[in-house]
Amino acid sequence: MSRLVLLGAGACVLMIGLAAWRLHENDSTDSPLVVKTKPPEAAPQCPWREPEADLKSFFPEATGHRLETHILSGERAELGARLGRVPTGDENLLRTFAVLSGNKFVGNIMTERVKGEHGAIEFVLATDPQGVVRGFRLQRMREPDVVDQALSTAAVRDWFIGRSSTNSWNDGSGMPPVPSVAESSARAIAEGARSLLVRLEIASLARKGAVTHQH
Amino acid sequence: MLLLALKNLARRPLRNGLTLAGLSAAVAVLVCLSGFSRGYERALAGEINHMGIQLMLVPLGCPYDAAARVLKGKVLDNTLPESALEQARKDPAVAIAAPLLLATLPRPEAGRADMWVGLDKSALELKPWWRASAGKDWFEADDSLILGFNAAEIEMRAPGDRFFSPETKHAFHVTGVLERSGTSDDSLLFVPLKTAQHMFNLPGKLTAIAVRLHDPAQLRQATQRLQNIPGAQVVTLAEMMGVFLNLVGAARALLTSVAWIAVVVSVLSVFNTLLAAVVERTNELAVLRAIGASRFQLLALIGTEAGLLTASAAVIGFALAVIAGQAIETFVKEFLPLAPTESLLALTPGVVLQGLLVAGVAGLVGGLYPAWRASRIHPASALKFDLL
Repeated sequence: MSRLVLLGAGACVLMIGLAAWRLHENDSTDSPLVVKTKPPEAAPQCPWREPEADLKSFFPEATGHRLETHILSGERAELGARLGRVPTGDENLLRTFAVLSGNKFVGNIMTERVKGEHGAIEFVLATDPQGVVRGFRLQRMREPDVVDQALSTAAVRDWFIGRSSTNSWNDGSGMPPVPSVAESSARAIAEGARSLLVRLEIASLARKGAVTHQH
Repeated sequence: MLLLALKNLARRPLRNGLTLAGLSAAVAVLVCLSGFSRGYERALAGEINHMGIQLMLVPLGCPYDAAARVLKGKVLDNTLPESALEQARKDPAVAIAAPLLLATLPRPEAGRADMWVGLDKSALELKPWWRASAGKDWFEADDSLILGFNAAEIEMRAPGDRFFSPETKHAFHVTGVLERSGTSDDSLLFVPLKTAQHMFNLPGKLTAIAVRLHDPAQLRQATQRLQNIPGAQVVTLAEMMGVFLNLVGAARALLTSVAWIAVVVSVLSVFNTLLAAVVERTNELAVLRAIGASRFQLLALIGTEAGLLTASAAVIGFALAVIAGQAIETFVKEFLPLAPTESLLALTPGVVLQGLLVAGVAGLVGGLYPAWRASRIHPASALKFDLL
């Protein structure tokens, strides 16, 4: 009986503690002159806006997908070496949608948001299980018509197909020619895609335990 | 007495546990409801007071819908003539009259809706949170653009960058990015008023005029005068708050009724549990009477058991309300008009006391008859059981 009483008392104390902690978090100064601001947060993740259409387009055999989150902060040195630059804070994280056909893993879909000339550019990248691109789609941008049309061509889309993290990307200079006003946006997209593929490879290797860290 | 009451409760852990769970849930619901109700009133009043305006001039139509849309940065279907601004500024009671032109450009295929706001410098005096986290805090040219914090993050813009509106084919230079304010301004795109009027082909038109008075005590007289401005109608922020609270009040009354029903059911549950315990322990209680326990002591024993049950339920219910409060708040905010951005759950001393009082009364009412019944047990009842 005494154990039960102690257990009950312990549960009550725990709940009171939790409640006190929550109240402390919610405590406000109540001053109308103090504007409440939240602490700085990372930019929101690029959403995947048309999952059904993309799955149908890139993986007609797909029966489902699952979200996987890969934390790459432990592989930062490797990431920096592969990218040839200091990784950004956002590049510590990789979110993939593993595509399944029944129980079989058939590839990944990833989304990325890059800084275009006139606003953010979002795109979707589909890869096979070996990390080779099998699909690319521009998801959203706010570029002027001439840039929008230049980047939305089949030639630009097809340039990404078959590429992987080990290809030579040369800062996107091998892309199909685009008007000069579209060049910076084109390079941003190419670099964003390269970053995704490198992170995907590192995440896969890390899962297998094959990433070696230089000391 | 306390230890004995605890031991008695522990003898039927499942039954008493279920009773405790039911009463805790009822207390949690009641505390949450009261907390949300007060929190919503406080947050709404705070947000409206924080705006530093006493009234708004909006186009003719439903004034509260118009004012609510303006406050939340949503577009209106009709507009005010710019002459209304001049007339408002001439009024002796008006300290600041800040014009606004709001427009939303939806682009469903891109999953985006750009919300544009055209304003002039008088608006700054009504936005104390307007500070630049990067760049300048005001426009430098007609094609200047200032972005709210969230808008800048999503579009990855910084001062000096370019920005394009595909819907209106206008190009801009980012002059500044605002600090995060926790208001709807964080998602908005700000341009000079004239630029907005040109962009949306609304020359000489406004969506609303926000007004601050020299003396809030002059509100009634100022309202009567400003009501005469052609094409405009006046909405005071106090009226708006009253309307929103009435809207919420109806839902609140319904939910409070449900919560009270839950409390009544819990009281009956306490009653049932304790009465069953008294009936089960008739022999034991009779023996206690036989060896000298007074009626009052038996009454106090059952009363203590009731008190322990309800005290525990009060503590657990209160803790549940606080822990689950945020999840419930996120859900509730989806359905509230003009949902304030700050937390809605206000667990003031009054709300806590109310919860404790409800639990206490539930214990008192639920335990009264069983305690009285226990006190009426005759010592001879123990012999009767033994003989049988």
